[in-house]
Amino acid sequence: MADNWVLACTYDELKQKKKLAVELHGELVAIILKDEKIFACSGLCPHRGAPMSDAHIIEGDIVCSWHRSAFCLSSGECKGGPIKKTGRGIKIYEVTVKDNDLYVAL
Amino acid sequence: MKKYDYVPFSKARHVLHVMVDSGCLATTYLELSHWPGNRTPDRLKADTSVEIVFKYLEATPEELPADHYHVCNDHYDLDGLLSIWIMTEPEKALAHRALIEAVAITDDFERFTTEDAAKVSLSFKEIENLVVQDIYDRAKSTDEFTELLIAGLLPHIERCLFEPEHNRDEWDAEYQFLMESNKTIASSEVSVTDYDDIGLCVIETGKPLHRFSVNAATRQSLILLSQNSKFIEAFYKYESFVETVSYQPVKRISWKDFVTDMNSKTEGGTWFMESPYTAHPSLRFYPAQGDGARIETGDIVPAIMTYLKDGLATPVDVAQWYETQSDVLPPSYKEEGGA
Repeated sequence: MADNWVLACTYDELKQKKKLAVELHGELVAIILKDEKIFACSGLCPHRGAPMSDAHIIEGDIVCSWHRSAFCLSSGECKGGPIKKTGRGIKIYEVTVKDNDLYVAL
Repeated sequence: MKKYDYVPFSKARHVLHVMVDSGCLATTYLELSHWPGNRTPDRLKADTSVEIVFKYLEATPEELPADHYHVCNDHYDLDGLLSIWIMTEPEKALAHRALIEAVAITDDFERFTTEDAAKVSLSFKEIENLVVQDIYDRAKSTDEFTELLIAGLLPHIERCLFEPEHNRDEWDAEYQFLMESNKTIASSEVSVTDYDDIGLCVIETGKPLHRFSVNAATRQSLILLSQNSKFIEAFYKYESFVETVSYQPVKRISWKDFVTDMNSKTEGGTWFMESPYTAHPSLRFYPAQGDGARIETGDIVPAIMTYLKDGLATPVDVAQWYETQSDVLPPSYKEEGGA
């Protein structure tokens, strides 16, 4: 496994909580389990800093729970809501699970 | 008139303070907030936290012990930011009370009040964007983000309030859109139909409308917006979440069963609505293929009206929001249990 993969939590922990916010090497990362799929992105919404771990996953988008700023789950590009005017997006991270350990690629 | 000092939320647990537009901590000796479940004294209650703070100052409280002159807030919005500033600059703020109260209503309820208030609200939004750009990479939590944002915006308040034209180039296009929307709504191009008994307003428009104009068009709690006979969204106004005194909105209901039912009947996308315990939940259809498929408004309105009529027999009590939906709150607020 390459150096940029960082252990974030166990899969069991995510399965139990569904949504997590973890700090990995100084970066805040939100991890969400939805329909058996795992998504990881920037921990804070670039609109007003809402926790993205509380965001909703809907039809390929991740939608902030505070003001409905929407981002593409694949690219992190902003797609709608109040963030659209600034064009600011979020980071989307690759995720993998090995032996119940969940790793995020920073 | 004695000035209060702003104390960031992370330090407020150690300092006696007035909490504005937020819930209490153990060190809060007075809450001045319109949030659901607030402990604001009845005689001070008003529609916005800004109005509440002005009422408090107007009541000329007797001299307090020296260590009581601190003001705090736990999240960012303009109603909260202005509430802080009013406490830190009471005499200056009282001299401009009408404008500041109009700005708070315009921004917090996203409802058009006056042209001057709209200009100030839009000017603030542009400054907010600049400050966020500066702090986003530095903040390691929502609380830290909020504190950096408030600290970054406080120095800009007077310029935005009294000289909103200073950054007009940044907000003029949105302002022109807002003015055009107000004209459009006042014309026969838009139909606004109120259903007082169920707190619903159906707005049918031929072109996009600014949210400030839409919210100013009706007193109903729930607005169903349709454009060219296509369903856009149905959303609850913020006034039906916070505690208001100028009118009693029809209560909210849960749309969970409606969404489940619609998702079982609809292909090509997902119906979704946030919990009624959130600030401004919106019922929307998210098409699987981008912006392609849209729902005909005529197909959805009867179902929404029927569900709403039935649901109002068992409305939700948003005053219990902190107990039922604590996951939507800033983490620090959850720690305090909202009480």
